[in-house]
Amino acid sequence: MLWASIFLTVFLLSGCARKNSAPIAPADKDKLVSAELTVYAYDSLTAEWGLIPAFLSDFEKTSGLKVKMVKFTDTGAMLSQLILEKDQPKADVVMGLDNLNYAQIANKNILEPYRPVLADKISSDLWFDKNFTLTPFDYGYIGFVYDSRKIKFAGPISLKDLVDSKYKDKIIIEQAGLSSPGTQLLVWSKSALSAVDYDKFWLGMKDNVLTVAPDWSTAYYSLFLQGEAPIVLSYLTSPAYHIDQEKANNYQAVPIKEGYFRQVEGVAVIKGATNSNGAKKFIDYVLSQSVQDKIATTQWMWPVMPSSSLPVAFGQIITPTSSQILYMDSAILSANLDQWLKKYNSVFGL
Amino acid sequence: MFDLIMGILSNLNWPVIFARLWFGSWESLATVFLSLLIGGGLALWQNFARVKKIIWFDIIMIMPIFLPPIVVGLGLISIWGNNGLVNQGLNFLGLTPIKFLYNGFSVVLAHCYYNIPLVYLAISLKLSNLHPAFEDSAMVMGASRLKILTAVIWPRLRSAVLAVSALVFLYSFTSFALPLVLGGIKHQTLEVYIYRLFTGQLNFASAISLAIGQTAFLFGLVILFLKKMNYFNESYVNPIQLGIGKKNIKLLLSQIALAIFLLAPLSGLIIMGGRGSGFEANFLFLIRSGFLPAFGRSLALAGLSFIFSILIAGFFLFGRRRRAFWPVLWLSVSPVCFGLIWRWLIGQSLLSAFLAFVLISWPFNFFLLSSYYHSRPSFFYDSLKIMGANNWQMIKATVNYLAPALLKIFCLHLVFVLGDVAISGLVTPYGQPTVMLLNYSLIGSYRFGACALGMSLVLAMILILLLAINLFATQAREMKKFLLFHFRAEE
Amino acid sequence: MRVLYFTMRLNIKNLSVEIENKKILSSISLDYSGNVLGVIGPSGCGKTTLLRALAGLQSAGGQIFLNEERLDDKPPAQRQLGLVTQDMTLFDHLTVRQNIAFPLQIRKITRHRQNRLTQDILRQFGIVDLADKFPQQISGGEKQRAAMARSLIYDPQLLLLDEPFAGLDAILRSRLLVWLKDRLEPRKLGTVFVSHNIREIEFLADAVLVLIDGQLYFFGSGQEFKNSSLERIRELRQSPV
Repeated sequence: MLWASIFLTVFLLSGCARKNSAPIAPADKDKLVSAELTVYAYDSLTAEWGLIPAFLSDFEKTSGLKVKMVKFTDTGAMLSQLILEKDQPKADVVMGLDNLNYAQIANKNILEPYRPVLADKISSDLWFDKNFTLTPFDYGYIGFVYDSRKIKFAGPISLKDLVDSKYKDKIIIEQAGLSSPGTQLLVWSKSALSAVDYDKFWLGMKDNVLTVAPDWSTAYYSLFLQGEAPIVLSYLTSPAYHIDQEKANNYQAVPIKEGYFRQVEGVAVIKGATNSNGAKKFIDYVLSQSVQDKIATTQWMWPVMPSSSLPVAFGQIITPTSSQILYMDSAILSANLDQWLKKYNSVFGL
Repeated sequence: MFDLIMGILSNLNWPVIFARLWFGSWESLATVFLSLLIGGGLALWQNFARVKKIIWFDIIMIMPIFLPPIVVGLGLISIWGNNGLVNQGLNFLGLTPIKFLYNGFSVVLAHCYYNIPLVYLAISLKLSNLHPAFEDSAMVMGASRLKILTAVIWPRLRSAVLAVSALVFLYSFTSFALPLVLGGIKHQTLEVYIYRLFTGQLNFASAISLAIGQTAFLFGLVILFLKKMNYFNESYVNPIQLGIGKKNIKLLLSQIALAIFLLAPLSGLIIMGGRGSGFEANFLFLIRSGFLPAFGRSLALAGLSFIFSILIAGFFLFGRRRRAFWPVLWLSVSPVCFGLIWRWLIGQSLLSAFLAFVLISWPFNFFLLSSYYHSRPSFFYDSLKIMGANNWQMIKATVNYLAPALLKIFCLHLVFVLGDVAISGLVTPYGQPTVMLLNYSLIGSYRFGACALGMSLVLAMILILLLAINLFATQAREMKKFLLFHFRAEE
Repeated sequence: MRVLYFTMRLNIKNLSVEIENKKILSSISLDYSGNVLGVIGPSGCGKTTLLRALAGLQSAGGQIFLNEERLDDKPPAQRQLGLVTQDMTLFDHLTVRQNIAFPLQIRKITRHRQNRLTQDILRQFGIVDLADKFPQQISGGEKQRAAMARSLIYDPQLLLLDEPFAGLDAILRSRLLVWLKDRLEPRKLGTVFVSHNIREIEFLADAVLVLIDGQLYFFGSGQEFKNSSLERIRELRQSPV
């Protein structure tokens, strides 16, 4: 009886916390430009010194919208929520989905295409598809960062060279399927290596890595910076932070012969959103110069707008040329990512 | 329906599930065993030695129980990691470093870090309520310490040991972050697999089925275990002025060793606090990040959620026949599943955070409270009734009796809420983080030094609060004795 | 009934007990030969502490000799003493029979002999019908007899009784006093008997120790005690209990 009472109370109270999800007539949607806008984003974006707090109050002043920010521990949790709410979406905008997330939900009809005002200024190879389903706002490259005080690389190496026994217990990676960089590494190796080398790579990595961390924070902060291993899977831009903020040059990215896989992050309108006009305004604002100029020093990624300002440190890190950028068609990703994850899990006994 | 269920079941990777079950079971059992041995053993030793309790030691023992995995993981890596203090020492001595971590045993080590203090606390709380007169009688009759332990203490301690063992087992089995951080990829609990099904494969049906299965498995296991629990009302014995035992150097050294084991990992954070721009710059950065409002928010959440949590625990303690059923069922629920569904149903708000802290903490509070409550003298309520106490006076007398346990539980709750990252990350609204979540979020912005300093500050504040609470409680008791004495003298 | 032989010699030299910087017992010294030493004094004078120090349950300065053998350097389990307190401290989770047999289990006596000895003492103490009951199921007087039985079953060399009849009604107390005396004498068992009831002391003891504020106020034979005109002893005598 008590159990039922508690559940009932919780359900009633949840009414206070949840947005009213009753569908709104199309004619009334225009009136909601001055109302609330619900944005879903992962927690780094919404953290105190993340990108969103840096521009949110300005956006609210400019647009007259009141933003309700809902944060998620990772993009996986965010995706789950979007799928669960598909028929009655609570969000208007989702920010932070990357190319791999896009592949997972491309055919689930969750996002509403929108061509932003500044779409032409964004390089065509950054777009997720031709329909402008997801608008890119920043990008980066997965890479291996190393501590040059502990290990040296004379020149570029092949990705498959990392399974050499001289690197045993010297590498930390993140878990694919659980962590975005981890999954990115899976796709990177798939696009960089032949089928045979790909299998050898993962069988070799299984025995060579010191450990596989659950997320980037653990891998980079708890393990790599503590000196547990001299090489960690991170982003090519990670050394830029150390150069810029700590005046330290010892953290560098390993130059990889095959090139680098690009991670692009996007922002999109949710299909069926209560305030889709507000969502569009938000997307346009994210592409504005004032926001794009903030990306490098909050996200430590490259902004999509080419004219954006970058810290000097970005000039001292590996910036892949167009021939060094590896691509994977989203249709191929969509069709195969699940299979690749299953195989990866079986290699690691998961 | 049958086809649906079979479809869901066939989608699950059974070899992986069994492997996770096996790992979860053995590491949980190992944790229970070691925690009872060290934590329980220390509590018993202290009891036998009859030495005066050291406040600072009790506070240090409260600290680790609910620290966030990031802090514990970082701390253990700084001591036991490949580049940790121990291996640096071995290197210095010209010895080969040892790989202590990134295997199954480091998961047990990490779980023991949390649970040795928990077991110590639960058992020493229970022992404090068992009158030593019975041990004295047995001693005079010629019983050895072992005989006293098995024949006199164990029958009265059994329910507390079983309850805390069940708690330790459940916490270890459903652990999420630490096995991932310290155990490496192979040593993951079933909880992680459930999470991967939810967020990695977006396979909700399988995730929920597995979560229900895990809940049923754990619940059944623990209920079988707890069937052995029978509550034992103590005989009343006249309080005698107990001579405090002689200083026991071996006991003191063991306490210091355990304190070092628990505190050393946390000291690594303080050193990291100066990383980057230095302590001062990191401190100012923290203040500008809203550290103080976040701390105030966390304190308020801790205080309010404690009151309601205790009320619920009290309701189940006093109101229901099948006392252990609901708390055990609640603890068996998959935390991942609970978190994801909670957020979906309730959303993010301070109210949501408050409710989440209440609902997650009450079973734990129930177990600690019930263990202490059930060792009250058998005539307790009869005496009150005979003296003509009304319901309100009975409640006051009960609260008075439970005061030592409530104090300890409040301290634990404070650590739980102030140190929490996981629940806060899920349910606190944007722009209103709890203090530890604020610190943790700085990692994503590469502000490592500020993050470490923030975490160190929170831990230091927790220590100061615990010390203040315990000293205040002691002073309040002394003041009460003083007032009573003078009152009687005037009579 | 006058005792014609001594069953124990108790020699205490400068026994002192300090608890948390408070002197509970101050340099108690006595040399006693007899059967039953009574200890009396107002509440808080240190009677129980004295008994606990004799039992080894309280750390104390000074020396204790029993029948020429030093006692204070032995742990409680090796002193071969019996202790009965006013709380009886029967183990609630054991039946009366199991409680009484408890000290025999420790001494690794065979099961057969344990049963025999237990049955004997149950009969001697008239509590055979209580054997399979738990302490919560029997009365105060019955608990007291069971506790005595438990303390005597392993033939201690000294029996310590700490207000064993406190909390019992007057009629039951006087019956138990007589019953106790009848059981002690044949066993030739030295006894230290603590009470705040002067009549009980005068009935049982052949020597009396009076403690006031932790110090030895009076020590002498029962007759000397009866005839004493010391002020505090007169106060004790005049108390209505």
